[in-house]
Amino acid sequence: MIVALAVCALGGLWFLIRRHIELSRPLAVLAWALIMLGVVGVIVATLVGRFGGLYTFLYPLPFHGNWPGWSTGVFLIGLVLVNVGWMIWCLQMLGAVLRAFGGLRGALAWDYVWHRQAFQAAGRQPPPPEAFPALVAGFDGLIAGMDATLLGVSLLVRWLDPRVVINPFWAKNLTYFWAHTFANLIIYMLAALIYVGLPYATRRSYHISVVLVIGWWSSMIFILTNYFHHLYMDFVQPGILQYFGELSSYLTAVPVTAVTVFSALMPVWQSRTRWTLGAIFLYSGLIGWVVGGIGAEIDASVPFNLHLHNTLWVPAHFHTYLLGGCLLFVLGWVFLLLESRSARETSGIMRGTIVALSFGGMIVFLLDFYFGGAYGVPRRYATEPAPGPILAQIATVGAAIMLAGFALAFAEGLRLRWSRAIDRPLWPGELREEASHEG
Amino acid sequence: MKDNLPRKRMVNVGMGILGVVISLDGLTMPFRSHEMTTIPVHHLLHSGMAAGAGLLAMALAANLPRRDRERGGWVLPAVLAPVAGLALMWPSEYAYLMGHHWLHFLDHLGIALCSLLAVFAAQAYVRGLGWPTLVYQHLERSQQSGHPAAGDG
Amino acid sequence: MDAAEKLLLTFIILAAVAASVFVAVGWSTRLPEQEQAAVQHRGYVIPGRWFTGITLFLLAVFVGTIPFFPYLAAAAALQPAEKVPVIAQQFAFIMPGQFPLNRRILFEVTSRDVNHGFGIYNPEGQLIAQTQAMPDYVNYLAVTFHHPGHYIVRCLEYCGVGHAVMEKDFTVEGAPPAPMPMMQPPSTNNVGSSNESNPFE
Repeated sequence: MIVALAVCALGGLWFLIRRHIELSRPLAVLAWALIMLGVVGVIVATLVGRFGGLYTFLYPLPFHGNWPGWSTGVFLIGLVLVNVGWMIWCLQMLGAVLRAFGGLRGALAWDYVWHRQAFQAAGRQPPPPEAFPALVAGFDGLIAGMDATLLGVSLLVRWLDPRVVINPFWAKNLTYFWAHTFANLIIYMLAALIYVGLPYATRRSYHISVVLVIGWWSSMIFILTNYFHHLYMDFVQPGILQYFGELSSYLTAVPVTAVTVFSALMPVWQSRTRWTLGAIFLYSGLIGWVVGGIGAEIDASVPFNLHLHNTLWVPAHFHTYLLGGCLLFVLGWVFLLLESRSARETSGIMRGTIVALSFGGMIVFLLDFYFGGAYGVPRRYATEPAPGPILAQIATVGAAIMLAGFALAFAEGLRLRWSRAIDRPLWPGELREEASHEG
Repeated sequence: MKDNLPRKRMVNVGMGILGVVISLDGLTMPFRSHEMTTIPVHHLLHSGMAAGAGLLAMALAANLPRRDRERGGWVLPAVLAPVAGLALMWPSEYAYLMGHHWLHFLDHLGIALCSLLAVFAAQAYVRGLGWPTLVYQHLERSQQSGHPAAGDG
Repeated sequence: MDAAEKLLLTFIILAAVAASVFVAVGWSTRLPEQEQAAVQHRGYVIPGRWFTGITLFLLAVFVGTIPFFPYLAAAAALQPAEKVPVIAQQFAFIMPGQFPLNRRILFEVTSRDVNHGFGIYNPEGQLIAQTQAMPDYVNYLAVTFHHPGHYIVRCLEYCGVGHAVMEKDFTVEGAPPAPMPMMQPPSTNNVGSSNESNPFE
């Protein structure tokens, strides 16, 4: 699910940035193809080779299993391929914002923040909001990619040459740095879809402010430093990093809530928003982001982490992010595109049914994870201790209801697609004008 | 702008000279020092050499065209050269290389060339990407951790 | 109300408050429309205040949680305690099956093969303490058992296909305990405490 949503985010952000500057299409296809090839490798290693080291593959587990050696190799090569594709994308994004907005200084909106008057007097404009996710994903992603290259090559060398020994604690830090940054960046990348989609739905413009720019600067740093919360229960980690980890995990919440969420609420307040399915999905994805964030902050507090580390609380919070946030952003975007081109509209009953089923089921599904976590049920168990099984049964019912809602949404999407009337780009400026002519 | 040009050129030449000196120092190391350092120290020396070669690459890239479009073909070497450079730091071969100076020299040459290629390619792809690549190359190599199992020489 | 229920309640209340803000803002689109400029002008006061408020709140919480951090200083590790080596391996824990009541136990947790977790569940099934079991490293975990009964140790870090069945029972009894069996520490043991060993050596 992480990779599926990551690929959605890569594509979405690429699409948005290409509106500002020409991007090489073959390069993007190459990045995509390498990621897909890597995914095939991981699937082959897992299903055919029975590799059971998991996607976190903490060293030395990949080399201590009851699966054949070749499946470990195929798994590692697959990961390296995914990483190569990811790094190509990051370089392309970073290069694009550097080219489009006048180097690093322009892309960071440095002069806009520090020399505001001269900046405005010169008639310059700060980059559009979607440039910041691209910059942060490109920059932080490149660092995570370099980390993954280091880890991947080390593990591949260890696979080829068992004489090599790797420090497991070093590998653990690298693994979590890469995995956390990669997973975390997905939601930040998808924020770009809100920046463009929400103005379309609300018929207002998304306002760039100094607070927003500084918020993205701090996100750029905190995304890299908050992975330390994955090592709270490693008491050999230098103590200062544990304190720093909690502090930076807390401070991550400030730019998200103060910037993205507030600047998303403001265009909605007393606006003429048409609550189509696309607008509903996009807007409620923000709720998932905030609620998942509350769960994450509780888990990122060391005294609570003592009781929640590696329990179901962890999947609880990231499923809230991914299902209730990322997936809804993607669906919202897709539906906005479909609705803007379709001759038909979704009926109120249909919207109500889809919302009730998918969100209602999702709440039941996610709450069971949180309950399990609070009662100490460990994650990644094939057979869970009580109260895991009963919660899992309730969660299954919730998931079934949620899937029914999404299936209905899928059918509705197909219906909208079949009655496509016009082909036009979704671009807030033009469409806002058009909307004001209509209204 | 005009006043800046000679200064820019001087900085470039300085960077190039510094890069050449550091790289040559790293390349000739196998012939000058025959003592086995610890592997972390050896990694640090490699990372220094990688940074030197990167500086040289930045100086060489000074005359590339301005940042107006992307030259996509350069992306692959920029991403793959660091992988090759890391693979050349195969941890269990140090003991053997210490006894074979020419092989050790070739190993260092490979590491330096990979770094040079990575930084140059990143800079050639889109101007400005060379610097982060240089820093990553340096950090990546200094953080390399693998070592041969105890009792393996 | 036990700790788990309090935690869940806190989370649910916070989540409900956050969600209702969104619903209220969403509902506001039923009110008469306002020009964006007007909304923007009044609205911009809020992020500034919120920015300061939430930052101060989070910093306060951070300072408030510090006394509850579990990391043992080197000095604390030297306090009188019954030292108990724990060796985790695929898929079992090698450790004693009986512990005394109200005595400080210092678990010296390490692993023979891959990364494992060491999570202690009390007789009520609550997770009361945990640390990671890592090859080449020792994590110190100090626990004092105040309630007699049947405890379970579970692995909390995925360690392979037998991860879910990796557990160990022990009892805590009030009676004076029998002398504890002495065990040899693992041979690959690089002993370090919370702030002594450097992971990047």
